[in-house]
Amino acid sequence: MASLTLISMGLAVIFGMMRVINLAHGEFLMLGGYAAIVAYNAGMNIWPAMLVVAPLVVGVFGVVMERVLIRRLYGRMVDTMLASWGLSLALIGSVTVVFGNTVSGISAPLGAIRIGRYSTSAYEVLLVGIVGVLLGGGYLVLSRTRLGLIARGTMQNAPMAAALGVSPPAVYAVTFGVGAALTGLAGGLLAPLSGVVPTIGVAYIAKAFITVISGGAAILLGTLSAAALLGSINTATTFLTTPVLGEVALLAAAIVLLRLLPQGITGRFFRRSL
Amino acid sequence: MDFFVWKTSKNLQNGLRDPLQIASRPSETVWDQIVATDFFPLDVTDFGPTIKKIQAAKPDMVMSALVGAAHISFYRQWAAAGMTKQIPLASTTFGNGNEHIVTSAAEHNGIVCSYAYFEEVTSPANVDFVKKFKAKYASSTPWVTELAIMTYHGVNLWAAAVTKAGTTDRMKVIQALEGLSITGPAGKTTIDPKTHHAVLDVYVAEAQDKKFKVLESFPQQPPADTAAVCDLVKNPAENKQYVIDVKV
Repeated sequence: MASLTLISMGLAVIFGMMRVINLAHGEFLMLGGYAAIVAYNAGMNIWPAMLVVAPLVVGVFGVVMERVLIRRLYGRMVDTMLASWGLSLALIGSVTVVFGNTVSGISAPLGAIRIGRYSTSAYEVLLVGIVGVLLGGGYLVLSRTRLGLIARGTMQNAPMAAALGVSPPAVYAVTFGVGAALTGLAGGLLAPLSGVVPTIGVAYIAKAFITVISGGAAILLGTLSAAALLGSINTATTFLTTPVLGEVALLAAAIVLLRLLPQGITGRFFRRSL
Repeated sequence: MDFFVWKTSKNLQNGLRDPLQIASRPSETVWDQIVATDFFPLDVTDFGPTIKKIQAAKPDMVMSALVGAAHISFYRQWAAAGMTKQIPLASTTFGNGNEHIVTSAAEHNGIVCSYAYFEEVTSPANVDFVKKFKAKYASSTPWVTELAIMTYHGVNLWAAAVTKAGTTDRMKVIQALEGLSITGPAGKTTIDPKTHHAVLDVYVAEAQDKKFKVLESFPQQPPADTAAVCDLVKNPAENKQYVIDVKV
């Protein structure tokens, strides 16, 4: 569940706020993972490698891509999909050339926590905490700061924001960069758990989109509630039956959810939330 | 004793017999119960629920036949949950995808594997072969796998059969292969006429610091599992696929 929230947050910003379907989202995650691993292998401590280098590298990459590619295609949904899909394939290809198609990874830091006969990795518990901090921070930025207000205003009505002296292209670039940075952070944080291969993005992208779309309009609460619901269904079904049925249950739940609530969870409940 | 079995939904590679058979034959342990068997789609990266399930069932051993990039995360998460010291892990796939090179020593030390070849086998033929192999492909060969060496033996067997038959005609080569032996880095390999499977040396080894430590060797193991049900000498036209009951 924490990992579903983690992989979806960057997409929630890019898709949820900007309505840009970024099919290279999975590859942004992959880049974050490689950024963390390369920094770690270069002798950097694991924490700054994951928490600073990964989001920074992918955030900068995101801003560059927005300026070069995405900004020319705002409002042209199909073209954006094609362009970002192309970007996704190009990234998989170039990373394979540089790093090879084998798995790289780092060991999870921290030890294990024992509760009775169950034990879990302390790192996974920490991830839940990090997701909490990110959600809380995101809420504060969006609701309490001038920056958040400008971003929300621009997404709601760009011409009006422009008339009030805001530069929408700059806001779009920053927002896309923040979304990319969040995605890079997620990639860096997941690298110790899952390892990284150039094609790892494929394993995440569908789930990320399903979570964000099921969540609905409110990017923070929507992502959190959808991840909580779908993640619990997946975990419980896997625990009680088999991993194959766990995946099936997640997808089936998302279909039922969208049939009943076409606007996502926050299209019906918590409508005024963020 | 009982154990969990992990299998993936991908077919086992050619040449590998059923992992359970390989692992259970050389050991003296008699497994009397399989607690559970789980199959995983190849893109599953989160093994948390599965590890909790194993902790709840407390098996004496876990057997993994996981393959592919995503599934390496099982070994990482198993170690991160502190399980390496608690339930022994055995595998018939770990290492063949260089899993012991990409995971850390703390994550893989102690995982027991069984193959028909390990780079660390100390026979003079193998030491010599590995030296030449690494001299030629040094940068791209972190570890010489069983898959590579069995392919090498396979091609050499075919070449020996073609020489013996004096032709590349398919049926004549197959007939020449029956009972034919070659000796290579993995020792002697013979094609068993009854099953068309190979008689091989088999080793049990433990992963240690990005290498394997060979614990036991079992020379010239016949393909007993298939031989129990299939006899191509008696029924040359046999074309049934046998599914071996591994619980026996």
